[in-house]
Order: sequence, then structure tokens, then C-alpha cells
Amino acid sequence: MSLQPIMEVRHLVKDFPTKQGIFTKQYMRAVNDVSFNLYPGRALGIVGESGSGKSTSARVISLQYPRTAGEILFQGNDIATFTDKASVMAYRRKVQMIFQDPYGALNPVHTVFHHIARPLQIHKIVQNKSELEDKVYSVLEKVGLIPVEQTAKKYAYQLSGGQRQRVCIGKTLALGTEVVLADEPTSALDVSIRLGILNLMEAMKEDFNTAFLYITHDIATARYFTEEIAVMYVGHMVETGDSRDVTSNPQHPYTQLLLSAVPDPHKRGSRISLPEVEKKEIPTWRPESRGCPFASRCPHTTPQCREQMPPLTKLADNHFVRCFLHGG
Amino acid sequence: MSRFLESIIRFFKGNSPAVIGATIIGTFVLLAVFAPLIAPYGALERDPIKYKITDETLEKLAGIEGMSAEIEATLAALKGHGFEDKHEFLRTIETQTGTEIPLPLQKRIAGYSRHDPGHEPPSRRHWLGTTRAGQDVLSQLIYGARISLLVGFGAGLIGTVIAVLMGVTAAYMGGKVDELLVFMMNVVLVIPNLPLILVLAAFLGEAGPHSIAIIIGVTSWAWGARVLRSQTLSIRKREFITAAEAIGESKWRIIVVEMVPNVINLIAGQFVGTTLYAVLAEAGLEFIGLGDPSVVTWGTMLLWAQNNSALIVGAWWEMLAPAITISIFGGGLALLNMGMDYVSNPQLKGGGNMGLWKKRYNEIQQKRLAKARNDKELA
Repeated sequence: MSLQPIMEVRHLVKDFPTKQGIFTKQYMRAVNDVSFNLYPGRALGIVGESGSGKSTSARVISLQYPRTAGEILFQGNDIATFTDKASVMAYRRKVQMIFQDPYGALNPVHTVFHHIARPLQIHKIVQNKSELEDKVYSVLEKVGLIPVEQTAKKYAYQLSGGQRQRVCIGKTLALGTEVVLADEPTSALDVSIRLGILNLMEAMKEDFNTAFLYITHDIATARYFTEEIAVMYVGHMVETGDSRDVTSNPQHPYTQLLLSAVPDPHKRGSRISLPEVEKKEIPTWRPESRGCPFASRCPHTTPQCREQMPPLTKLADNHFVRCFLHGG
Repeated sequence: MSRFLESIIRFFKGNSPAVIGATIIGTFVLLAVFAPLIAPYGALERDPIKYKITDETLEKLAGIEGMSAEIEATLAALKGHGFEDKHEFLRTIETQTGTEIPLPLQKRIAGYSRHDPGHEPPSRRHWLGTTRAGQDVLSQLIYGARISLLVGFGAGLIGTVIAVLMGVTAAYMGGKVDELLVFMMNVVLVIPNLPLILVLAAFLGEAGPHSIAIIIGVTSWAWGARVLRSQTLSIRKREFITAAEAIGESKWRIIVVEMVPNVINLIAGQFVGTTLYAVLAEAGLEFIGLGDPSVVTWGTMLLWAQNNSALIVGAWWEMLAPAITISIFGGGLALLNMGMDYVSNPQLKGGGNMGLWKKRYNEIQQKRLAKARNDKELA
């Protein structure tokens, strides 16, 4: 891979306090030792179930939470060094998040125009009012919200879910964002509308060379949209690699489990069969927890799995898995 | 603008409490604004009639020294007429009688027909009667509305602004700021309000309307602040706030532009509620004599009515008129508040909806009956 990454995440750790006594503090480790790179014009899909730390990673990157440990490099600079207002603003302009719920992500009392115009005004991208109008309309046209002038006057409740998500994407377009953290952008939408949103993001990727972090629990859309996939479980990356490799040749038992849950019309009857496992609670990971996070649910658990964290094993050129079944 | 009008029409449509409330409040506001044009007399203007011949006068004057039949006839004819000036009064009697009246008799006539202007019952001249001092009660009510409404709306505004700032800021900032602001709210909440107002008002001496408005405003925001805080807390968690932070909006803009418009209905309700409380509290303060008694308000009207023992001497109008006015105004505000509740919580608007359901139900029943009849005929 000769491309220069725009965003590098190295061994990211995020703890949340769960219980706070006078002498003791308990933590929950939401993200543990997560590393990945984002490249311009490419998308990385993070796949995992609820509570696997997907959104937390994105929120740490978008400065909503401070990190506990690890490094996040944006264009080679650690974002922890962005302390003054100007550099934080510059970072915010270049790194934007798209939210899961397009119904909650737009303020119900403001028009579409306000939502697209504010980022332009805050970051002083436009100089005067007529320029602002032109820019807002051109953004609305780019995200396919036509006729633009009528749409600009509308309120969020007058738009469909897909149209709202287009407004949210329009905000990032207006800013000229270089890294888009898309937190389940399609999961709240009708299946028929998903493709439109995915194609819009695909176009952004190609036309504006935007880097995407595509967070989802739907491995099928991740395969469609992303070049690379990272599978997360309880805050850990259990398998990463090219989308095609991970989805056609899953190596980690959890990835296999995830894929077996995707209905595939072409492969009827050939589902990856997993032995019936006892339904177990998904563990809460703490800084002091040991072993493989998937050990409690895995059909191949060995005593070693409960004691040691398996190392990341390289399977192919760009395919890594964290499991004792493969080397380690 | 048309959107604004539309939303106003939508607010009042089918919302009878809001319509009634707004009508009452609107009427009072108009009365207050155009008081000098509407009020028949000045607020402190006394009834100018000083001399008036009544049956009692005639009885007392009957057969006293120097009295003649002619004079007596003139007096009887003049019964009920009021005169503002003594000389004019006596000259009128003289010219009507055609003779000169001896001085001692003049003095007696003037003395016995002296008119005490106080406590005239409602009549055509004074629709709501007069006070003990001969002031027109209706005019006082209209002029009093100016101060009472000003204090009410002023205190409402002060209280609402503080409540919005405290509540929304606490909800948005969270953490230590939130704890501090909530602590302040709780302190103001647990301090009994009226005694505090009494102490403050007494401390300031005879407090004018402005001080009363400020005192009420700064002591009545806590409840609203708590309500607003809890409502904004839920908005705080919504993603559009996170999104606004992510694009770099300043804290103040997020509070004022993104959050406050979402609770505007609550703020309006809060304003109406505080105004209602302020009008009542002002009347209460002035009634117990902590206000400036020389200013005509509904509260001081009650104070004077009480001081003049209006109820004991049977001048019920002097006491009832301001009391009922305050009640109507308070009722209007309460109805307006109720109308706002209907909008923010449409479940309360059950009445109208139930009517619709009933109509539907009857239609269905009738269709069913018609079908049954039809089936029977066919059979």
C-alpha cells in the first residue's frame, strides 16, 4: 500500500468509569488496543454488534471523548497536540461525523438552509450572503436534494429519513471534510433508501477523495461500500483485512458467526454452520480482564483462551486475525 | 411572516381555553394602554359634587327660622341636583325662588345639603360606584390595570429570563456548573417565597411598582428553571447538539440558537405562569400595605377598600370590583396557560378528539344497523 494514510489510530484505549466509590474506581474498557489507518478515497468498515466499541472509537476521534491511551495521528500530527481553538476548529472542519439517527441529528426548529449554512459561516468559508446562498444550493444539488430552493426552506420533519441523511452528508460536503466518520448512517433507513445513501457516499469517496470510517453492524453494506473491514468485539479488533477477504474467507469464529447471520439469496442452504452455543452474556471488558474477549461464546474455546489474549496473526498480505486457532 | 401567522392560527384553532384567555388578556392590555381615552374620570379625581339636596336635607330644613314656602318649594324642585360650588348653589336657589335668602338660612341650607362624595353606589354616573374618597372605581380599575399589568408582565419577564438562563445553562454545561446552579435553584425553592418578598419589601420601605416587579421577578424563577433544566437535559442528549458541537458552534450559540427554540412552548408557559403569580403577589403585597399607597393599582384599591371598611359600611363595590378584576385577569392567564399545555401535550385536548371518535362510532353503528335491516328484508 503506497498511499499515505490521512488518519492513523495506534493502540487506542478508552475507559469509562462505571462505579465511583471514595477509594475505589471501576472502569469499563470500551475500546482496547485498536489500530487502523484511514486513506483518502478509501473506506474502512468497522463491523460489530452493539457495545463493541465502534461508535466510541469514532467519538474519540471526533474529540467528543478524551482517549485513555494510544495515539491518533491526523496527517502525521497527534490530535492531542491540538489544544488551541484555531487548530481544533481546523481539525473539526476536516474530520466530521455522520450520525445514525437522521431524525435526531437535525434540529427540528431550523430549516435545511440553517443546517448547511452554519458550518459555512462558522468556518468562514463564505464571505457574504449571496455567496452563502449559492454555496448552500450547490451543496444541496450535490447531495441530490432538488429542487434546492424549496428544500432549503423545509424543516426536518418535512423530510424523509433518506433526505435527512442527505442533509447531514451535505454538511460534511459543505465543509470540504477530508475524513468522514459515518456512524451507522444507513441503519435507521429503509432498505430501499440505503443504497441511495451508500451511492452518495461512494461518489464522495471518488469525486472528493474523502476518507470514510464506515461504522455498521450490517456486514453486507460494509462489503458493498468499503475497501477494508475491521471486525470488532467487546472493544477489540478481532479480524481486519480487505473487505473481500474478510467476507468471503472469514477466519475468526466471531466473524463467521456474524456472516452466518446475513441471509444470502445465492447461497441457499450453505450457511456456515456453527455448533449451537449456549447463549451467554456479552462480557463487560475491564482493564484487568484477561483472555480472549470472545472466549465465553466461542465454540472452540480452550483453557488458553481464558488466560491469554491471543496475538494478532498475519494470515495474508492484508488480513489479520486475533485468535489462537491461527498460529499464536 | 405568513408561517408565523399560520402557527398562531393553528394555536388558537379549536383551542377554546386559549381563545378565551387571550381575549381576556388582550382586553386588559387594551384597557391599560388606552386608559386615558377609556376611563371616564381620572384615577385620583374626586367626585366634584359638593352640594346636593336630599330628602334628609328637606326634613332637617323644614320649619326652621326664616324658611318660607317659596324657598321650600324651590329646594324640593332642586332635589337630586348636584352643585360643585357653594355660591353657585345658593345663587341658583335665590334666582329660582326670586327672593333674597337671609344669611343664617343660607348657612344652614349649605350645611345641611353638604354632599359627602364617598361611597356612592353604582349608578349611571359611576358604573362601579365610588370609593370613600369619591373616586370613580371603574376609572381606578382601568388606570390600576396599567401598573398591575406592568408589574405582572415585568416580573414575569425577569423571572422567565432568569429561569431560562439558569435552567438551560445548567442542562447544557452539566458537571460542576450544573450542580452549582441546581443548588441555587433548590435554595431559592425552599426559601418560602411570600415571606421573603415581605421582608425585602419591608426592607425597601414603601416599595414602588418597579421594586415590587424586581422583587417578585428575582424570587419566582426557581420552579421554572428546574422544569426547563429537565426538559433541556433530554434535548442535550439529542444528536443535533453533538453535531453542532462537532462543527464548532460556540457554547452560547448552541444554548440560544439550538436549544432554547426547542423549549419555546415551555418558556411561554413559564412566562404566563410567572406573570399570574406576580399579579397575585403584587396585589397581596400592596393589600397588606407594603407597597406605595399613593399609586393606584388593583392591590392598593383593595388596601384602601379595607382601610375604609368598605364591606362593613356596605360599600361592597369598592372591595368586590378590584377583587373580581384580579380573579378574571388571573383566570385569563390560567386559561392561556392551559391552551399552551394543549399544544405541547395534545392528549389533554381529549374533548374534541373524543367527539370525533363518537361521531365515527355512531356512523359505524348506523351502517351496521342499516346492513342488518337490509339483510332482514332480503331474508
